[in-house]
Amino acid sequence: MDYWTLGLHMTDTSSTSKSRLAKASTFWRSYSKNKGALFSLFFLIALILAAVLANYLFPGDVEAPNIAREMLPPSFSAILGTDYLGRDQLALIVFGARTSLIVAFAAGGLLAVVGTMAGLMAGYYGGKMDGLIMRCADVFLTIPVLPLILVIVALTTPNLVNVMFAIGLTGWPVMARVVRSDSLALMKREFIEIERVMGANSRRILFKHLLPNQLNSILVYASLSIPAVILTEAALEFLGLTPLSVSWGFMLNVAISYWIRGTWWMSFFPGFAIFITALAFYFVSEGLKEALNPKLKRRRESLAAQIAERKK
Amino acid sequence: MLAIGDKLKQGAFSMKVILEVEKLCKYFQVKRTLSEMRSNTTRIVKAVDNISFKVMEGETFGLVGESGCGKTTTTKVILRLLKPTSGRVLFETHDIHGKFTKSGSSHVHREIQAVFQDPAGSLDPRMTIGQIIREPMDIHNTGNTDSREGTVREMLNAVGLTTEQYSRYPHELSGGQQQRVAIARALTLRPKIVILDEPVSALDMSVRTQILNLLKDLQSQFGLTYLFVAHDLSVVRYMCDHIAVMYLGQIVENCPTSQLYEHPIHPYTRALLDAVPIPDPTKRKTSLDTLRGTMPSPINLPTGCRFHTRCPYAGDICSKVEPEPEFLEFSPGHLVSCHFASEFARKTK
Amino acid sequence: MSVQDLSVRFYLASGVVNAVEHLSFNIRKGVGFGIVGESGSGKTVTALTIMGLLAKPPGRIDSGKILYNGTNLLDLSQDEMRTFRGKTIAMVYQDPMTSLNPVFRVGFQIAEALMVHEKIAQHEAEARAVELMSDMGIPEAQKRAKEYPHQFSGGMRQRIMIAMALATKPDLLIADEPTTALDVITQSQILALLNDLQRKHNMTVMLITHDLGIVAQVCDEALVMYAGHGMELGTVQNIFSHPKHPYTRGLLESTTRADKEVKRLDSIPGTIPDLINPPTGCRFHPRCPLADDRCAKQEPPPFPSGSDSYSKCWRSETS
Repeated sequence: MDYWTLGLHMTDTSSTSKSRLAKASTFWRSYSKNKGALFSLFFLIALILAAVLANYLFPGDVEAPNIAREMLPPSFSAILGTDYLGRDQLALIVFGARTSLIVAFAAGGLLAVVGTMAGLMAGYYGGKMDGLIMRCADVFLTIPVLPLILVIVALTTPNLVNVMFAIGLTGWPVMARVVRSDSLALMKREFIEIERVMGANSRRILFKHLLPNQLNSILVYASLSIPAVILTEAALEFLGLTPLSVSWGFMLNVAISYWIRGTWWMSFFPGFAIFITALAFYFVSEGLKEALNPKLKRRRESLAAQIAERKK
Repeated sequence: MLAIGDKLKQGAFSMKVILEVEKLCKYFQVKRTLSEMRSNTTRIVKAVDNISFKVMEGETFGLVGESGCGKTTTTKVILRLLKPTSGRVLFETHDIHGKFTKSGSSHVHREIQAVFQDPAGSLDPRMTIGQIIREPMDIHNTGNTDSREGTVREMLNAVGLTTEQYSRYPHELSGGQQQRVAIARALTLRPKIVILDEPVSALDMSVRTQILNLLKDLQSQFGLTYLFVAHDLSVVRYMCDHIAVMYLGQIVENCPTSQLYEHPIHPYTRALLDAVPIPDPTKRKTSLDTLRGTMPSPINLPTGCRFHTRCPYAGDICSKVEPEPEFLEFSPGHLVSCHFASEFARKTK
Repeated sequence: MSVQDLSVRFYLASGVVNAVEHLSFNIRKGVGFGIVGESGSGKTVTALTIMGLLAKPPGRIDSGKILYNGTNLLDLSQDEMRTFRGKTIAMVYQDPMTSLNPVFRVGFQIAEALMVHEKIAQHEAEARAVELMSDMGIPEAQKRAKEYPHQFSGGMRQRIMIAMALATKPDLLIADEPTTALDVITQSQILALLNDLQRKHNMTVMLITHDLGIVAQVCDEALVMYAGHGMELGTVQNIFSHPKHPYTRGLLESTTRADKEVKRLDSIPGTIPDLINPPTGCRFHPRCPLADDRCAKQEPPPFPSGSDSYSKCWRSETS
């Protein structure tokens, strides 16, 4: 016996007429219930701010070598130590965040746009179009991602933009699958049929009806794909394929050669940065998923009620 | 000053045929199994098989049958969501599946509208009520922003909703209110004919009659023609002037409402009427003349008359030859597809 | 069975749902008892509470007793209730598609009930299952008992459900909208079957439905529920010929008829109330043509109108 059969859906007063502000605050309340997601969100905001304000936080040329301070372990003057060129690691990591965040959002965005378009077309048109798009997706899925990106990057000039494109273009199939299945389900709904009866053209149905009803899941899956993007980007830099001088992956690349000298801070901190950032994005997307999914919300409400009952 | 519809209903209906379905067939292919692909055979579901009927302007024409009889498929073909396998659908004598100019096609979209069964499902959950009702005008670019707003408010009032509902969302409304919105939307561009597919089946009893009465009033007010599809014979009796009964893709009986309920001829119609539970404990059935067996699968249709496997009166000819619809001698406008139609008709006289 | 002053509420974060309030009615042995109501009336919650299947959090039985042959079912433990359920009181649900386990043979599923409650051997139970199936009108029962649910039509599946429910020869059979998912001809077959079984075995049947036609044809006594309250109780003859409660009257007047031509039906205005914030006083007063000030402020008690019948309306006070 679930919520629906008991007729309780009729008394769902949790969604009465609300202004945009009120809706935003309910969303925030639900989102904040997940402490991990909340903390991760604050962390990411702090990271973004730091990356944007990096020039002010660390004035001067961060990349300039300083032979006198080569490979110093963490201390008061250099909180995260210095690298093989004597440069302050904290500064490098904050600047490196720029690269990672730019690639994360750009590649994630590209992947979301391409994947969503493909999924919408496949779901709306069905038949041959669907088959074609899904076979393309399958091709991309069977090719291992990293080698493919290596090839793309090797064939073109290895700069930031190309890296973004490469990662974005290989990540679209998963998004496409999600959007396609949501679209297929929506196409069966009666309101889409009525749109066709009323004479709406394809563009209208695709962008005014199919897309808006999937925004939640698109947002969730886009944010879910970002951790993978970050790791892929770090891997590319680690393998030395992209001479993006200030980046976490490249710092790791260098750190390997110096490992033998016991300079653990040269590999630990960049590595940890990659790990924690990817993890933060993951928690944020999980938090979004729970906050935007009304069914989970209700179950949590009844659980909360049970707990309150037992306390009585 | 009589409403447009009242003039039409006075006495005789307008003799104008507004919608005609002519020998319509819609077949579907069943996905083939490996052995079928080898032997190159295909199973076909004859969802709609050679049906014909005419709807007069201003009347409410009922299409009745159990689930799986093909009535929903028929509505989809009429609404151009599906293409016929063969046969035609004529709206004001034009074949709606034929070639159209863009404006011609747009015209048909505006004149034929629909209201479906699931009140919540037929409304876009992300749009406000106002936006939903305005949608047909936005699609066809009629009037300007102000005139559209005005029409939306007018329609809200016409279906018994307050203008407060304008900025609400579908999930904030009850089922009955949602269906009113769907009706308002359907009537925004003043169509000529509205296809209603089980419009009240998903609603509670106390709301059902409200919506049925609303539909009746709107019909008078706007001079509408309705094609009313349902499985509930009591609802159909209340709403319709003329009824066609469908079974396994074919029309077995087609006649004015009073004829159907007072002098049903086809054994399937009689079985259906017999089975409807009447809310009157004094009219209890003592014996149940129930049908044998169950409805055959539309993939494996019986030979001859499709109903013969369950018919208590089936004769030899019934399993061999498919009956043709024929007019009854003494009932005007009464078509029956049964080999023994005239015998049954004589008996009930 | 005697339900006395039963109140069931659901405690949710969004509020308290008053699903059933102060409900009382009696069912005598061998009677066909119908509970009529629309969505939100509380009829399914009542059935679940009797069967002990209510989800305890968030649901809570705030008051009342359910006396069955003297025992208060609400006092029984989970284990005791489990033996009661299935053996003495059995239930048939609305959707035959999802109520049967798709991976077990049908004969086995019926036999399972017997094996659990009567502790007999499997082959004996399966033989009894075949007998039951043919009693329910399933042709070639011996062969069909070895088949799976998906090989049966909706009507047949419902017959199997009924066979399962009756395997242990229960005293009371609760059928919750047993024919809603079926076509009208199959529906009349199943109703005829239930009628038949009731008379043959002197079984008590509690039929829950929203269809007044079914109540009129199959039941002897009926309870009309609205927004969690029992509004009218009485024999089916009386309820249909002389309905006392305005809601009952409204329902009857707004029911479409296949047996006679009606020019215009009177409909009940308004919508079914929100159970978290129900109307004060009489739950029906916002929609009632006879409502007055008192109706809005004070909830009427059930005024008796004969033995074992009542009408919960201030207008019935004087009669």
